[in-house]
Amino acid sequence: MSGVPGEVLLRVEGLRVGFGGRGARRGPAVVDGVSFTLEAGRALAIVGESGSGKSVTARSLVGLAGAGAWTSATALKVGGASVLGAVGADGIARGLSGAAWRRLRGREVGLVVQDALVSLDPLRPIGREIGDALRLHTRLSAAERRARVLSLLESVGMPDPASRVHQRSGELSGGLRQRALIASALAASPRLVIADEPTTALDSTVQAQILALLEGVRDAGTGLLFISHDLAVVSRIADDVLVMRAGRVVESGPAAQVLGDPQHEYTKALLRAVPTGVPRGVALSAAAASPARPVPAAASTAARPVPPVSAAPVLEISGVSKRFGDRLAVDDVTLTLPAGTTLGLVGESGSGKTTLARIALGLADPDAGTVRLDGLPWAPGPERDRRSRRPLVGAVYQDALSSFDPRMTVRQILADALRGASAARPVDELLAELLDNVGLSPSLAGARPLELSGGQRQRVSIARALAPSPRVIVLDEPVSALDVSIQAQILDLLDRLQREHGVAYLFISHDLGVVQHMSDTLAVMKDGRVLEQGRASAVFDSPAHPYTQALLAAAPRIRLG
Amino acid sequence: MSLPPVSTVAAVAPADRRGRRMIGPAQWVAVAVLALLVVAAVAPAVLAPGDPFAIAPVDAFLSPRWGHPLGTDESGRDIYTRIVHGAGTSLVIGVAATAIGIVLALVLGLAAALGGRFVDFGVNRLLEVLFAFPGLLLALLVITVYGPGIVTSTIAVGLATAPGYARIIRAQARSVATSPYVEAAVVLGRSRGRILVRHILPNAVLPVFVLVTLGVGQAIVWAAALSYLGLGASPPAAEWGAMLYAGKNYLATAWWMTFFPGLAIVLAAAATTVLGRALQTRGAR
Repeated sequence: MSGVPGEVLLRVEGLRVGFGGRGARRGPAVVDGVSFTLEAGRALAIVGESGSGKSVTARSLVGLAGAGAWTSATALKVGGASVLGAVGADGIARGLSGAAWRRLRGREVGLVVQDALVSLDPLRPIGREIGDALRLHTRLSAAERRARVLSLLESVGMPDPASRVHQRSGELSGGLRQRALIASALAASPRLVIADEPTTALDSTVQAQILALLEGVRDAGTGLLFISHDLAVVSRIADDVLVMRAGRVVESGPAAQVLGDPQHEYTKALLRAVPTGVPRGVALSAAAASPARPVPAAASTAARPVPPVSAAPVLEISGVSKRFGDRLAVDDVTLTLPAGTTLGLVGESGSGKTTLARIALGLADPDAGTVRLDGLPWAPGPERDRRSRRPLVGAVYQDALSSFDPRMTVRQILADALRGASAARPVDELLAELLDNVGLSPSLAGARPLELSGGQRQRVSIARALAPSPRVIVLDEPVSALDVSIQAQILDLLDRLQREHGVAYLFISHDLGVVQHMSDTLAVMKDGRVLEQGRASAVFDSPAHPYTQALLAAAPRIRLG
Repeated sequence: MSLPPVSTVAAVAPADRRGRRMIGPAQWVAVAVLALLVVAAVAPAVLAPGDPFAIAPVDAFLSPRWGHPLGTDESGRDIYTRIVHGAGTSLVIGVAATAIGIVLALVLGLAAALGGRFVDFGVNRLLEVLFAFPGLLLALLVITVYGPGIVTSTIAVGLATAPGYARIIRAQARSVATSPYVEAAVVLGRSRGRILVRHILPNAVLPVFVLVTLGVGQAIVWAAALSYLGLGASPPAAEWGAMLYAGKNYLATAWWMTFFPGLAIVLAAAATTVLGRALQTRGAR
């Protein structure tokens, strides 16, 4: 994987990509006039939110933009050779032939995508998957290929490669799968690697490892085109940054310049939306932000008074355990949530935080221990006993869409949640107030959740949780599926609602930055156990447990220089 | 600032809308065929004014010609008239058999999905036994016990189709019962009964009705098959399967006696199937 330093691996000028139609009637461009160059040994990051066209841009470089895509460009050179193919009279490139693309893919360009589980054949051992690239692009003998596969796996940090070679993708954890996928992309020593959201599906500690691996690849002289929505990740690895929005480049330049001194409003808004290090109570989204906060890391003034952590507990979890088969999902957890405050529960996948949320919601009975709500027993016990006090607890889920009955409109969902909330006022009036509370236009009441954007769905979900005027809302990864600017709006909304309604949050997330921004108190979970808990500020300033320290070190934050 | 336009404007998913236009030429033909069938079933005299049982020995075994567009049978009865008048029987058998199957399946499937572990176990073993027999064989078993005839053959076909539907309904109801939106209803403090009526039943059962349209075609074919075997409607009746049965002895000399009733069965079954598929694709969003 060597390239001459300074050699231009990728030259893109005036790239336009669109879908559907032909000739004059072709579909609108989703990538419109994108230009950049990438040199060997450097990393260029394309940053943008969903729908910005960043993935389409990357994929059009290897001819994988998708079915029915059309491409045009002034220049589109990969490794010095144009991949535009013959250009028709309409200015639309016909693209390379299938065979020409196949020669390019793998050998010149390696592609790493987000979800390794679906990108690796589940029925074939990873050794064979990686060996494929060698078989297609090199003249190595079978024995040489085996040796090379082993050395590749070793170079991507796969533990015990000799036995992993025979495992299938389903037998590997997310991090190991991603390593295998990177190994297969690197197999034929391409000079250029395109990584499309390669760390998005991973836990933050694993994410840090994969980023270090990709950094090593870049330092070895490979050109790296890195696609991500996550500015913190990008700031770690990119030499140059290209910010895209709605198919256009809004800002580009060296990473330190774009992220350190952004010129475009959109870049500024994106940066402001990163919650890591932003004190509690300070707005993240553009609409509510104070102009005095250009870079989040620099902000230090807490706009919120010290939270009343001494308030009476509204939710008390004591000595709770839950076992699934022979796995202890939750192991003797004791937590207290004072009224009107936020308890952040942070942990990686499989740490038991969602099981704990279900126990707190009274959806699963604990095997041992008790949960008390507002001073009275809540769980374990029959659902019948809980039902009359259900209005005290609300829930917001990561996947809002699946938490709505698909046949119902927003109005029906909220009217259903308002049943029995207050007989004194007409439902329509309460409904309008609820929509207004979460910042949704009344005109959306007739829509079905399927027709709403991700942020709007989460707002409906929050409105539903808020409808019965609860004392506690359990939020399980409420912003994990959202773009960073939408995430900022939702976090701001949650913060405002807490201040206005005095509701307490059990806020569950894998994202330390989000938890830090939202929490008064914090609990760190791993393998079902709470390793550390206390005042959020105290835990973040001086983490006692090594795991917390590792989590903190891996937390996404903007790093410059 | 410049964020709101992208983030807060309602996206009324245009991609979904495009996927809903599933009516192509094949679907239009299917609609036309079904419309004809319904007219033939409700008012056969409109399409074929003659008497389907009128015997005219002089006209026996006439090949298709002017006056007898589809020919005549061994007793000189007009095949076209008989096919038109047989549409009602075939359609009623198809719909009734499917209805019997689906009602039975609803009871079994919902009981298995929501009735607890023991009910689920019992229903599943019962379904496995029923599945062990090919559907038609099961229908034959019922007829052997209760004797041939249109009513028994309809019930038999209904019984034979029930296990398949029951499995689908069970799976559907289970997935809905454990879905996040049912959980969300629990969190809102809704009672089991209310959740069942408001969320589980509609979401579990409505998708199955798309399958029903597919099932009607199959039921028509099966009912005709039973009649052909002499176990459903018997020969003088103007029923398509029975007409096939009557015509099979003259296959070498009077092909039209079997060909046209067979064509009617194929068309009816194909039309309902094509429409069922279109509904299915549409429902799949």
